[in-house]
Amino acid sequence: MDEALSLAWTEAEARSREAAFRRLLLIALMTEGAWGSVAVTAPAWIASLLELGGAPVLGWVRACGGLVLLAVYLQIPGLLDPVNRRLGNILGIGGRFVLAAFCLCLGGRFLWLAPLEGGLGLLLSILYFGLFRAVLMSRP
Amino acid sequence: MKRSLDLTDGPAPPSGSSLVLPCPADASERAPRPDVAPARIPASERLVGWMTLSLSRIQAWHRWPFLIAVPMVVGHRTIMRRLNLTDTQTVPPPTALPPEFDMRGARTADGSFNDLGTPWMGMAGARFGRNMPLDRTFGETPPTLFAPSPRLISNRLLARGDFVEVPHLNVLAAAWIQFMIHDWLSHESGDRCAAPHEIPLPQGDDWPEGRMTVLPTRPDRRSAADAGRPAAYANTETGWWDGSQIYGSSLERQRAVRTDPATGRVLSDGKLGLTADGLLPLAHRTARGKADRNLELAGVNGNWWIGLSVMHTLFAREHNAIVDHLRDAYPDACGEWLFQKARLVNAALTAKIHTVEWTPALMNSPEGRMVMRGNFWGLLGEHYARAFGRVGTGEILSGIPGSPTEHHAAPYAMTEEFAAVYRMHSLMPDVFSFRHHADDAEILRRDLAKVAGGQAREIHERVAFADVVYSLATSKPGALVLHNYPNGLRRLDRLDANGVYLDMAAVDILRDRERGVPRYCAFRRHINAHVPRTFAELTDDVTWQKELDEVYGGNIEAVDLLVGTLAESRSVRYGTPPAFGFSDTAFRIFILMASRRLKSDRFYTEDFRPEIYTPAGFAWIQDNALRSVMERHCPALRPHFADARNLFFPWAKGAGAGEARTGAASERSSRGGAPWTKP
Ligand code: HEM
Repeated sequence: MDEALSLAWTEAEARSREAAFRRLLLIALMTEGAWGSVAVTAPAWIASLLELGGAPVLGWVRACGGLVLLAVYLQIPGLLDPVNRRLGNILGIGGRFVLAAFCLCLGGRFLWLAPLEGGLGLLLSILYFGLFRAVLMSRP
Repeated sequence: MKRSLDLTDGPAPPSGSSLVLPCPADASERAPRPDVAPARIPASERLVGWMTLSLSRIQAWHRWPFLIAVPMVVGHRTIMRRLNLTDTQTVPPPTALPPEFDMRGARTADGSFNDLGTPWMGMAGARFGRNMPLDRTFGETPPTLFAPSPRLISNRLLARGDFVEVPHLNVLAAAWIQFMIHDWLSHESGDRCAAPHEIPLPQGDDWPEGRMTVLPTRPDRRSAADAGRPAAYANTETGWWDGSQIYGSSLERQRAVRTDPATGRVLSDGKLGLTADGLLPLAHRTARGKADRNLELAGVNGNWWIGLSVMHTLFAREHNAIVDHLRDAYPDACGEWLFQKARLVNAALTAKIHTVEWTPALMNSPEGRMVMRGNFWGLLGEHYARAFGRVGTGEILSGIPGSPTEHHAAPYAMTEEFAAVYRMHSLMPDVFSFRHHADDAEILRRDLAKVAGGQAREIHERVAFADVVYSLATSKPGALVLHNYPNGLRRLDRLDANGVYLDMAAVDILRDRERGVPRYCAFRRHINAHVPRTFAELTDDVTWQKELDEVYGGNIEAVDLLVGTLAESRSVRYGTPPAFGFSDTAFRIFILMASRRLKSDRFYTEDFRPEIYTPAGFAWIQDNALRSVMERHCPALRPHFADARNLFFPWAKGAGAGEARTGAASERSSRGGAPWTKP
């Protein structure tokens, strides 16, 4: 029998795509979470890394770190159950593209961040769309 | 004539607004009949409609990537809701409500009072509407009616050579769609007072008696208001998705199916009559009075065969299981109330199965599945809908069920064009093999004629019900392609008059022409689909191109709708979308009409709620699917369908089938149960 007609096969396919997406999202969230934590706890180091200047920006860096942590936190439900908690993932992926565009506009050291976030967004969107199709095709 | 697209909120096309309603019922006196004017089309939908037209000039919707293709399907539907719904009713049929009938909380037997402001809408006896402009629907008359001869087309283009099967479907899929069609529509019997059509026979044809005559379709009675308009035809069934193939389209028929075959009395507990073996009672004649020994009883029992018998038996049992469930939940309820609520639930369950199981099985691509699941649950999906309910009133996010009722450009009616694209007789195999589910050993083998009419019951007498279901579920239907029309239907014994035969293939062609269904190219023109200019554009198959050219004398515009839809199955650019079991032409009509069957029906829109269905009934619809229906009524077959992703896909054969999945399948609840369900 054609495998695509089998419930067991299509469900397994969906599960493996779900695992792949969750793996990448976990890595992304851990990396972003680490950046966010460092920005909150050691804003001066981040500021020097991004060549942002001295003390006046430290508060902003800390605030950005807090926002990153909040964004990471809001994506955790989507990480735990990507099939049913879709909104967080869709906004998260979209947000990465927006962030990438924003970094491009800012220029300077931010130009390093743009391809990183954009690439992550692209990879996540490809895996998420693959998962979406696989789940859809595991339904009657 | 090509109508230009106007997606603005202009005045409605002529609808039944001028109709006088001779309805005695108080509801219509209280509520003036609302004009069936299209609601304002939201700007977003208008944008999608415009985008769809622009993109489809480049290539057909199914050739675009998923994220563009799905909105394009929505766009096509938006456009068609505006341009492809035409009213034909000039004088509405009379309505009468049985005394003390709760029309708000239950479906009437004849389908009236679904729309409380326009109670005749969709009722039995109302006319078929159209998906074409009215002035394009005048029936063909001789000589064009017979040009080229429908029999020539049957012989040269349709007759089955080697059986072409659909590898990913089973014969239950063929039975199911006929089961649904009998719910939605039927024309009146042929007009015996009119001169029969005499279909010219090609030279050397071996047709019995050398003459092929077919009675014309009886048109609906005309009135002065019909002057200058094409003939219109009445739908003898209710047009609603209300299970009328099970329950009938009249109170009389409803009483018949509610009668206990053992006592001859109407069952007071709200159940449908079944024999002690859980089979349908015998009627020995069709609903229209044609005698047929051993023919089973159902709301609609015409064109009967073993597949229809299976579907009717399953859903009669399902009705009774729902009654039991409701009685448990509401012990004080009377039998009449239980019947009416169980009918609502049973009909909604078939609508759900059709939308999210049958149709995706035939449109087995992510786009097809997304569109149909979206129709039912919206973009937010089933999980969200069940957990949180609807978000707003729109149909895109949360699906059609539960959204506001809307008839768009015309009062609700089945259409001639819809009936035409559903002429899918090629789905029928010519040979049926009945086998034991335990070991797949053949019990008997019958050709199509020998599983039809009353002979279906003889099969039940020789083969256990579960084995019949198993046999159909493990056999493949025919593909909707040229040269695959079942020969059993090309020489169909009319049963009522021995020795009188019908060539259904020729009749299919003749009926479309007679009823003014435009031919293929004109049809496509009116639904904004690409119109082939050459036979090479119609189909990629070079042999077919040559045959079509010969039969139609080189005139592509003359190609009949049915022939075109079968030929486009082999056109990559403009034809049948990948993984679809039916043509793109048919699909365009389906997306319009499948949504409409839900969107126009009060019981699937404003009144699709627990207060009307009862909380227990509403939950039944949400909790069940064809899988659980099968588990309940054919539990012995569970190992065979446990691994079938969709129950219309072929089931596993023989012993040891689906063992790996059996455990998972049995975890799913199967409530109710009846004496005959013991494995
Ligand atoms: C043994 C199986 C079947 C038999 C004997 C049968 C026979 C018939 C007959 C006698 C008619 C009426 C012809 C006329 O206009 O004079 C008809 C119409 C029709 N059949 Fe079938 N049919 C069968 C299966 C199917 C299936 C599987 C489909 C699936 C889609 C189907 C769809 C239709 C449709 C749409 C019409 C037109 C109905 C109308 O316009 O009133 N039939 N069939």
